[in-house]
Amino acid sequence: MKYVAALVFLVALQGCATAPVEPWDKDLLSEEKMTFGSDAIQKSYEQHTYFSKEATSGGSGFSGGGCGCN
Amino acid sequence: MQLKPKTIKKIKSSLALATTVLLTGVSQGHAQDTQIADAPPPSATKWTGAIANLYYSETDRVTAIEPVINLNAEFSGERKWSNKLVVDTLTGASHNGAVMSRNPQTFTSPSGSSNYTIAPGNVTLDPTFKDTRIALSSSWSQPLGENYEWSVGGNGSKEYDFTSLSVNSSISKNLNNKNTKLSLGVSGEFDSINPVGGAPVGLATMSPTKPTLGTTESKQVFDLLLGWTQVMSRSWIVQLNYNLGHSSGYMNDPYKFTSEVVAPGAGNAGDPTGTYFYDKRPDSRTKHALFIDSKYHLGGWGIVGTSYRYFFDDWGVTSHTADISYHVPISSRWYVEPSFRYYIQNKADFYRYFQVQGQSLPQEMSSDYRLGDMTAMTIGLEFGRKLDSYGKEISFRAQLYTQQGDSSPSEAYGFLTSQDLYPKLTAVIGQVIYKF
Repeated sequence: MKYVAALVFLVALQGCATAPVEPWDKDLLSEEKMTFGSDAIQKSYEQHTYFSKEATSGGSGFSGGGCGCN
Repeated sequence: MQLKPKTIKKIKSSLALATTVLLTGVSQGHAQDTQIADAPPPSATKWTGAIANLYYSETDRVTAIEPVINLNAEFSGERKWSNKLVVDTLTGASHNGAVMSRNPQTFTSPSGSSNYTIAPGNVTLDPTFKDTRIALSSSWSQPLGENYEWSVGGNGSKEYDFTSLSVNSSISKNLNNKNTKLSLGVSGEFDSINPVGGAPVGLATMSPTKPTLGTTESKQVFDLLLGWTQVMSRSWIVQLNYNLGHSSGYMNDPYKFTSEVVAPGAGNAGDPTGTYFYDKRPDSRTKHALFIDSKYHLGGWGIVGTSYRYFFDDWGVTSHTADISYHVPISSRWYVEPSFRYYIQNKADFYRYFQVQGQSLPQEMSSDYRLGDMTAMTIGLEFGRKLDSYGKEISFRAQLYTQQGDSSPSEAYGFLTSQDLYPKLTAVIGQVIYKF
């Protein structure tokens, strides 16, 4: 059931996309804060903190090694 | 004025050439604030990086300081080599899993060579918690043909009782005029665990001469990551990821245990008996995470970032994580970015607050608060200043993290009802990052 929901969501999301954006219209998208991964250090701090304090991990990229977080 | 098709075509090709230098982000995963006139020649190696520090401090519990050095080299042909060194020092006291009591409780330290006593009504924290971790990671990424990119990386970390080595690799494809990126990544992690005093046999009772499994245990973790990044419009970009993970091996926490409490009906029902059972978890775990991330540009009004993750695994844990941030430029150099994160988790099947004396032991049992029913919130505020036009920047962030669960669960009875069975956790977090 969860997988069906995910698939439906995927298809719906693709439907939301408008016509392809041309390279000369990517002025806003080229800003650093508009990219995924621009705040890599911040994200790795957050991942480490939440991995150590909660039961959930993953989803947004490889965490880059484990820790014996007790 | 209507433009003729031929004119449109000429303008298209000229602009496409001119904007190639500015094109980043969607395909590369990093953007540079470049000015064409001052950009270095394409063949020169570009060095970037960051120096950062994190200060994390829980009220009465753990304090961590984590400096990071990151160094990246970008070579011609969009080839990139990234490196990171992390040092993590931890001190303070960590919750050991036992319930609070109206009587003093004495626990054996992990080494077995000493005891510590928790006063009545105090949270059961192990004060011998101390560790230093060093981690090194390195990765290489480069284009593969016209539409593909490939990366490979490795990580190693070492702390007093834990060593980890991992490798990862991913491939991604750009489609649809670089408006769509599909990626596939895999990673393998190999951990070696050497707990202080040896790994206790799960469900054995705490004592200075606890039975141990042997001095070194191991764990393997494999992950698969499928990603889809889509430019939705001129102002909006979305990423959807699915992560499948499987761990197996030694999954217990060697330093946590569950309290045995006096059965209902007795005069001191609910009081700890003085017996504690070591943590015992399944020897494998399969987890799934579905993650969606969105960034929306509001023109001069800043950028709104939102994300949501749904997680579930075969331990019975399910969780929802929602995050929002609002990046606001307040001048040409300064910005401010408030953020908020909300997290809610349902407990693992084998999580319990205590074990009732006389009842048979389950096959698996853990009182690690991190596996319990809980909600957590983080509020944060970041200030940053651009130092030049090439990405040099300094930022400061302060956050408050609170975590709480059910302090009076329905299972509580007798003297347990007057104790806080899930003490609240509060932490302040400070972070400074200098990017160059």
